[in-house]
Amino acid sequence: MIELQHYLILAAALFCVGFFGAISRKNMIVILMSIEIMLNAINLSIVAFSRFVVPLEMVGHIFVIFIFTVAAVEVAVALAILLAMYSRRNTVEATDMDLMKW
Amino acid sequence: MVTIVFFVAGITAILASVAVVSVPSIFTAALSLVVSFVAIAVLYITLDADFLAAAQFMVYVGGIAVLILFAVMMTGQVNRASRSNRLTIIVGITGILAFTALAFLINNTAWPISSFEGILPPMVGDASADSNIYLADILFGKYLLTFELAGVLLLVATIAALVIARER
Repeated sequence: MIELQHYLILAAALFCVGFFGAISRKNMIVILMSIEIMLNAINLSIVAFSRFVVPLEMVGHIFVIFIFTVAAVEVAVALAILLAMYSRRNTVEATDMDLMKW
Repeated sequence: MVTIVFFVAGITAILASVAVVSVPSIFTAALSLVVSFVAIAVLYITLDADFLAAAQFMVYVGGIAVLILFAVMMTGQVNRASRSNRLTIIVGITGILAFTALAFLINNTAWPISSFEGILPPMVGDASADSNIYLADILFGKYLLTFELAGVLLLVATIAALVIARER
């Protein structure tokens, strides 16, 4: 039988994979994808908590719906920044974006 | 049944996510991301969250994944390899340590599992409509203001994305 712990461990594994990708990659698109994986892991753990701890209130579902919204907003704005940066400097490597680096 | 679905979907999600962060081709990584999103939608169904599974399909698979694929194609990065930086080994060790610590904590915490059993909608069946009706009730009742604010946020983000990405 699948318990809360299984879902939480799966979410932790996904989060760590996303963390690894977000820190260790140079390409900004891959970094964005890794952030999406981390957000998905968090959503999964929230829904699991909602299902197993307070199954009748569904408050976790409300949380996840708003995280969906914010994730969509985040990706739209981040890709707009990425395209603007690409048209000006012709690169999508995060290490090349050092305009504000001291 | 739920056990089999959980393990198949969970292993698929983890393998697809590992592929996203490790394959050299960005295009392959974006397609693996779609697989990961679909696997997580299946996991939502095993958690009796039908509406969230549908929303995951529409927002992530239909929206975010397509946006990312567009970005991959518009920046001409399809065939270029995705390099990693100097931190790879350190971050890998940190990630494994963090996962070990999290798994240890998850296993050793007494979670306040609800003793409620039974009335929750089953995976398929007539009663599954009830949870969606209740969800709509609280989303458009108790959380109406937040819902409206999310709409405003989407509008602002649309305008911001247009302004930022505009050709000058």
